[in-house]
Amino acid sequence: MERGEVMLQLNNITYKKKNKMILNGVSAEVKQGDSICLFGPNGAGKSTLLKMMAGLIKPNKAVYKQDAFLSKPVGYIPQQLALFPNMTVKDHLSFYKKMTKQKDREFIEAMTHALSLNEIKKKKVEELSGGMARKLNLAVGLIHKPDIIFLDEAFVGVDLAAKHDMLKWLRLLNEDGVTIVLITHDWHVIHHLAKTLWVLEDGHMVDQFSIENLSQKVEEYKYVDSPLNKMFAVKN
Amino acid sequence: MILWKSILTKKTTLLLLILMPILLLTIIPLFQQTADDFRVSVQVVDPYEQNEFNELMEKVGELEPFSVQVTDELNLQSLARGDVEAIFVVEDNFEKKVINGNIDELFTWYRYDHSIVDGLFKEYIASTLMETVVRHEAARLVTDELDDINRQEVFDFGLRYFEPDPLFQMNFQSYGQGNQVDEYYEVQDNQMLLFIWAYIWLLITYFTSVIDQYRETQLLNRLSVYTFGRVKLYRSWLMLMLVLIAALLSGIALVTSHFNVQLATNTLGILFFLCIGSVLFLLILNLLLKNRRAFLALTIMYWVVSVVMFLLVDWQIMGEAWWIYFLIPMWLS
Repeated sequence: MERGEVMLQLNNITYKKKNKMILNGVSAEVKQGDSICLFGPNGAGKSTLLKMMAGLIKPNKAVYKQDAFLSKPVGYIPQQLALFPNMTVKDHLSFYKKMTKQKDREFIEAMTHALSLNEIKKKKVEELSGGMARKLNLAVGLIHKPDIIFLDEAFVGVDLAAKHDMLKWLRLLNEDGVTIVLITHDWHVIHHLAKTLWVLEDGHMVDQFSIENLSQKVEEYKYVDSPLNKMFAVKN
Repeated sequence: MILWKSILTKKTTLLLLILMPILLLTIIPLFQQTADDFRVSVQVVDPYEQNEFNELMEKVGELEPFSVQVTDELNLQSLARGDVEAIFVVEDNFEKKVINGNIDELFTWYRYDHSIVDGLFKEYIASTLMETVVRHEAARLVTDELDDINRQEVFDFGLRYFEPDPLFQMNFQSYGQGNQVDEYYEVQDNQMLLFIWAYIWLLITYFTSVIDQYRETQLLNRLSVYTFGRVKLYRSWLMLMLVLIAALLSGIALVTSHFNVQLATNTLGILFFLCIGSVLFLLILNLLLKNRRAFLALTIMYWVVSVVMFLLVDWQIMGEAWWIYFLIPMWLS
C-alpha cells in the first residue's frame, strides 16, 4: 500500500449501547502514513471509535471498510497496563514474538534499544516503574511492526524521559510509513506526534483538521460553548 | 506458555494448591476417627450368671458396630443419661428356656426416647439366639428318639446346618458381606467427595477470576487483534485447568491411600468429569457475565446452595427432586 492511500473508511458509523448513543453518524477516512489524534472530552466516544477501528467492537450500523491492510494484525496499545504482572520483560517479548510469529530480530532489537528495555529484561512487571511499564506496554503492541497502531491514552502517567523515548520511536515508525491513531489529552504528545486532529463530542465528529491549522482552531474554539473551549484553551 | 507460568508462580495460587494436601492431612484422620468411634452402646444385665448367656455374649462381643457392657445390676440412670442406647435384662430362667427350645420372654428390653439404633442389636441378639435355640431343640428331639446318643454331640453337630447362615440372620458389618477386614477400606462417605469438589470449585473460581483481571486490564482486547489470540489464551487456560485437576485428584488419591483410604477408580473418574464440567460451567458463566463481582457473587452463591442441599439430602433431611441435579455435586451421590 502506498503512502496517502485510504486504509480505513468510516461511513456513517453508529454505535448504541444500553439505549445510549455512543457514536452517531461518524464519517472519516484514515490514509496510509497518517497520524491522527482523536480529541474530545470524556464520554465523547473516542475509545469506542478507536476500538471499532481496531476491530475490537462491531458497529450497530455502518458502512465500514477495512481494506487489505489487515494482512498483518493491527497494533493495539490500551490505556491500562495489559501485561502479566508477575512475568518479566523478556517473558513478554518472547510471548508476543511467538504469538505474532515475528522473525525480524533487527526490528525487535532496535525497538528494545530505543525504548531502553534491554537493561530491564530480567525485571518482573511488578518491579518496573510506571514509565518502564508503559514502555513495555507499548513495545509488546508493536513487536510485529504493524501497519497501523491504535494508542488509547498510552502516555498516561509516563515521566518525561519515558515519554521522550516512546514519542521518538513512534515518530520513527510513522516516518517509515506506519499509520498511527491515538487518543490523548496531552498537548505535548499531540504536538510531537499528531498530523491530524479529529474532534469528537457527544458521539459526533465535530471537526477534522490538520495540525498546521491548530493555532487558528484554538482561536475558533474560544467562542464555542462546550468543554472543548477549555480543552483548546489549555493549549496556550 | 506465559499464562501457565503467570498463574502458577503467583503466591496466591501456590498457597491455594498447598492448602489442599494440608486440609486432607487434617480432615482424613478426623473422618477415620469419627468412623471408628461410631458404635452402638448397649448394656446387657444378667443378675444370675448363666452359662448360656455367657456363650451368647461371647458371640455378640465379636460384633463390631456394638459396644456391649455386661453387668449384673440394672441401672436405668445410664439409659436416661444417654450413656447407652438400650438395656437388655436376662430373665432368671433364661438358660433353662434356651435348652428346652423355648423362646418366649428371654429378655426384657429397656429403651428411651432418644434410642434409635438399638433395634439392630435386638435383631442381632435374636438371630444369634435363634440359632442356639434351634440347635438345642434339634438335639433334644434326636436324643428323645435315640437313647445311646450324647445330647452335646448332637448339639455341636447341628452347627453345620447353619453354614451357610440361615436367611433370617442379619449381618451388621458395614461392607463386604461380613467376611472382610481388609487392609484398605473404600470411601463411601459422600461428604468427603463433597469436600473435594467444594475445594476444586473454589480453586476454579479463583482461576476463572484471573480471566476477569485480563479483561479489566484490556489484555484480552490486546490479544484479540492477533489471529486466534483470545482463543489461544482460553485454550491454554483450559489445558491448565485439565492438568491441575488431574494432578490434584491424583494427589488426593495418593494422600488418602497414605491413610489406608482408597478412592475407587470410578469415583475418581466421576469426580474428574464433574470438575471438568464445573470448569466449563464457570468459563461460560464468566464469558456471559463479563463482570467480576457478579461472577464471584453467583459462583459463591451456587457453591453454598450446592453444599447445603447436598448435606440436606445426604442426611435425609430433604428428599430428592429432579431440580437438585442442576447442582453439580448432587451427581456425586
